[in-house]
Amino acid sequence: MSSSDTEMEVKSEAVPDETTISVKDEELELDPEDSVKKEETGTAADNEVKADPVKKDTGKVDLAGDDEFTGGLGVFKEALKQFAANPDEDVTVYHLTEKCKKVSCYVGIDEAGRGPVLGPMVYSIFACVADEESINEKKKKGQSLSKIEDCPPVLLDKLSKLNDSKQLTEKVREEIFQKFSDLDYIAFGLKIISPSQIANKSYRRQKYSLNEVSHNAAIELIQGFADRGIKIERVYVDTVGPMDKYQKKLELTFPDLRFKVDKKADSKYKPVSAASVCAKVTRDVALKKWKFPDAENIDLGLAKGWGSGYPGDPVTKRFLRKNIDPVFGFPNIVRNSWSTASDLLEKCAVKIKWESDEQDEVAAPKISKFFGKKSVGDENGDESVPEMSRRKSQFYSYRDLYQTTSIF
Amino acid sequence: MSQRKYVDNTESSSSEENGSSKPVSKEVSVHHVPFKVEYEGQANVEAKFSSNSVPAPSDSKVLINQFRGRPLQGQKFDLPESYEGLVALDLKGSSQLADETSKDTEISLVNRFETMTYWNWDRVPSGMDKHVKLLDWMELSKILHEPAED
Repeated sequence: MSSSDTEMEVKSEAVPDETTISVKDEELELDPEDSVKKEETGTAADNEVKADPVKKDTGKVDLAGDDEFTGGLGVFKEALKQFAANPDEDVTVYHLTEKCKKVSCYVGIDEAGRGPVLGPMVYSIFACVADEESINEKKKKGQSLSKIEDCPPVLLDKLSKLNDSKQLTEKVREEIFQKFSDLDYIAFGLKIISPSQIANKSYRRQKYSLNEVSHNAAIELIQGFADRGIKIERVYVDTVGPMDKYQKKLELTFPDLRFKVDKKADSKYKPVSAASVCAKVTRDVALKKWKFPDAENIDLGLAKGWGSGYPGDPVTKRFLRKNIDPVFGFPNIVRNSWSTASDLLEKCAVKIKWESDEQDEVAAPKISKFFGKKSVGDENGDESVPEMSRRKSQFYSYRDLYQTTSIF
Repeated sequence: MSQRKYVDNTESSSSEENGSSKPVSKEVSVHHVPFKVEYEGQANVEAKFSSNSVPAPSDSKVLINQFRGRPLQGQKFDLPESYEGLVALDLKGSSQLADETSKDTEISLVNRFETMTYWNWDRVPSGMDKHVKLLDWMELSKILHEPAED
């Protein structure tokens, strides 16, 4: 398989499927003139008209609860509902507002749940309308635009507590996320990447790394915003892998957009902080609300759960140890490709030998073999050279093609 | 090779409700997988594997599944006419069913099947797969070995 094959398959996954489209219909658009009046934009928008049950009364919302919501929270809930219905597939949703289509926005991208062995990884894109007033003020003081954009002024700056999601408590994150939901000058997109998809991708014939999964999720979300008419001024991205390469990749994919890929972007740029909060809240609720198809057979122990999903969490450790089917391995909440998981399978489940593993057992010769003088002892080493010429290119072996000189 | 004695357990006790004496055969789903499981015995195939198969979005004839995180792509196929799939249990050295069967019985037939699903690891099923080639060969070999009409 050539690398372009891999690219193609990746793209085909990025095409919104029916479920994504149904959510797109429900995208809430706020009338810029009157933020209270809500506009119906799609066929499925009926429930958007319903009054928000909790918001006005208490200001407190149970994000993991079953209540129905409107606005950003409605989109968030819909994403989780779809994901719960089929946790083996990725889900992508967008929450848009009119202002973000008319006025220039600074956009941030961040992820949550990259390290844990349990549950999905969530990618979030977040757009916020630029604070023109503040930009003009700074310009008057003689600051250059590039200097101003080192700390992009967005209307969001007025939201005080906002910071890198890891430095906030769960409660604060949820509060902030709820506030986002009602703002008419922000937009966001969420991509929930299923743990089975994460494992599947790293166990493909042509290995597809987690970095590529991340990059492609970011690209899909940017494309999603562009397709939906969000006015993107500049995109800030927390780096995954080498910074320069990632920046180049994004610039090549979107020649019309400006990017800033940076380390610790989630604490330096407000839109990235906001994206990180959205991603983290979604990841936490998705993990907490995980539904097992055969829940009665899952051993949750005294903790009645599976913990944070981090390999060091004792609750997660126990969950992993107690829920191994000797043949089929872990339930689908587990990222089988994580070494924590695969090491446990090696130890506690029956041994599996893959056909293709056997094929690939012929090791390639050391590269140093081709350099330098042959030592005297190697005189008869010529015999070992055909060893490597026997090793076929994967292109042939995957297609079952053999070289023949005669038919019989 | 001499014929080995066998006992046929594939027919469940005839359904008494409708009074018919026609045996009901126990159809099972049989999977051919691209890996060896170093284990013999019962496994929860239905709940942990068969029920997770979904048709591929691009081609509904292709099935998608996974095993321990590895992506599998498969296809269901019917056995050729005049062939029958049998699941057999080797009784030699096993105490199972010993009391019901005579001592010299060596094989117990436990299930019959007419369709099978084969799985490739991350490769779209195609005419190049061994299973498809086997079906081709079965047809060819029949023609080759049939007594020539004269």
